[in-house]
Amino acid sequence: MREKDLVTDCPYQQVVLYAEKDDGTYGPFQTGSYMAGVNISEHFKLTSNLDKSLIEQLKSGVISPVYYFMITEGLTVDELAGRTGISKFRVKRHLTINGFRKMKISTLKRYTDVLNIPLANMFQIINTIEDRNWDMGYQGEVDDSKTGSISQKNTNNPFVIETEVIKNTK
Amino acid sequence: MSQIPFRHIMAAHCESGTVTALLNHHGMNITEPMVFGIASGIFFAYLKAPTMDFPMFAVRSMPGQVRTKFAGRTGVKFKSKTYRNPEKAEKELNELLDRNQPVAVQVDFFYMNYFPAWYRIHVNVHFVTVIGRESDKYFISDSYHPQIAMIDREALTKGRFAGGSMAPKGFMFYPVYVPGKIDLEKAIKEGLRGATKNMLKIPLPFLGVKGMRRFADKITEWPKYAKDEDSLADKIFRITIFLEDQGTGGGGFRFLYASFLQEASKVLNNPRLDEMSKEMMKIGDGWREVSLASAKIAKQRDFSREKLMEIGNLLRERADLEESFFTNLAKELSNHRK
Repeated sequence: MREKDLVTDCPYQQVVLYAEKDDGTYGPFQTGSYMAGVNISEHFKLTSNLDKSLIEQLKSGVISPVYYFMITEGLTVDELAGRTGISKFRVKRHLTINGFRKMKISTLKRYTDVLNIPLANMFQIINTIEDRNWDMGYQGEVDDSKTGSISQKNTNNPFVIETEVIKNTK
Repeated sequence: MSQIPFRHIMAAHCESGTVTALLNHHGMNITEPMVFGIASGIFFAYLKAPTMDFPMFAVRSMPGQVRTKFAGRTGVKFKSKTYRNPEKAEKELNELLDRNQPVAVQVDFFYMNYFPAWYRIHVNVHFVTVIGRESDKYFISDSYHPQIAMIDREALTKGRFAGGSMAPKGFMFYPVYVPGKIDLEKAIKEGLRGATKNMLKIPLPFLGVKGMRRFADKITEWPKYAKDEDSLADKIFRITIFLEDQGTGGGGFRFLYASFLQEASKVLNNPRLDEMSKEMMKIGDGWREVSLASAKIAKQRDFSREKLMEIGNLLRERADLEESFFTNLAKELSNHRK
């Protein structure tokens, strides 16, 4: 493949590819990521659909927060068990509301350490002012100038509340 | 202390890039394709075990083998170590940095928070070079990041001690002996021989070109493993990511390998290898077609058997071409010996 045929315009995600140069030699060059440059909107659409469906299940108490974060971080039961040091049998139980209810806080902390989120976020869904469900514990980007107050309301899941930043309309 | 003077360059692949950068730092003038090729990094595997939720494939050799095979074939010696105790790992890392020794460490990519959150996934076999520290932060040379990055101590430790499959266990390495002169011809030939063996001779149906054929046969079964259309589309998009974006240099490492063959032809003074590098580049173009076809199918959400067969057929063509390519390469090597 010639270098010019591999160029992708994507300044925020750069990669190194190898290609044929004008003089016929092969070598590296830096360009935008094909996936990020061409298909990122599709990728975001997919993850957003998945997230919406999981949020609904979480709010209605069908799944536990552990299940929600496991899926959104692309982990499997095997991987989560391996990473937390909790047996697969117990992880499977913690994916349900009943299992989640019986879990010790110290066990939950083992999950949040691996999932890289604050413990408090196991108990709330945070919506940003753009009305997008906030992804993880480390990603919130809120424009302070437009924010007003925070509202928190119950969901049908006894362990999870919905936290929302209310836009300041004044 | 602060940052060790270190030439940061982006590379196609994290492991070959890390090894190359460390060797360059220690005075060895070697390129990433040469490191990758000598280490027989090119490979293929299609994996689906009963314990796996979804099949997966790999287009390169096992993580860690680029370093070990390269060292074995060139005489370079790396000091490597794993740890049980994160405090001890951190202490020894700091001591090495204080002695101006850049150190490569294995991490879970997910915790490398200098990348945007959407880009990070849990994968335990990412390699970065730590090139200094300042209070609670470390300077990182990551082959996938355009500039030298900084990471806080906690995130680095989490990354180094993530559990799960291929857990890093604090693994680190750095060169302790770099020979003044290496027998490059011998190392290249061993690398080429290793690649032909990996691609053609391993008697398991899911490795090498046999693995490509298995992938071609099994891709029509992918819908049965997926929970819904979205998750299937995501998995099919991942074919594109694994071939193009996830540190392969494009075309599933085949462009990188073509560059190696071109360099090797000059070192071995063998014009036939130069021709073969062009063939490998074309093979890479074909892998790019697989990527584009996969992205298109995932976008259009047409997961009919016919559409998946289209990817399967492209994969089968790749298998035929690579079988012929590596058979010819093996013949060329045996001719060259005479």
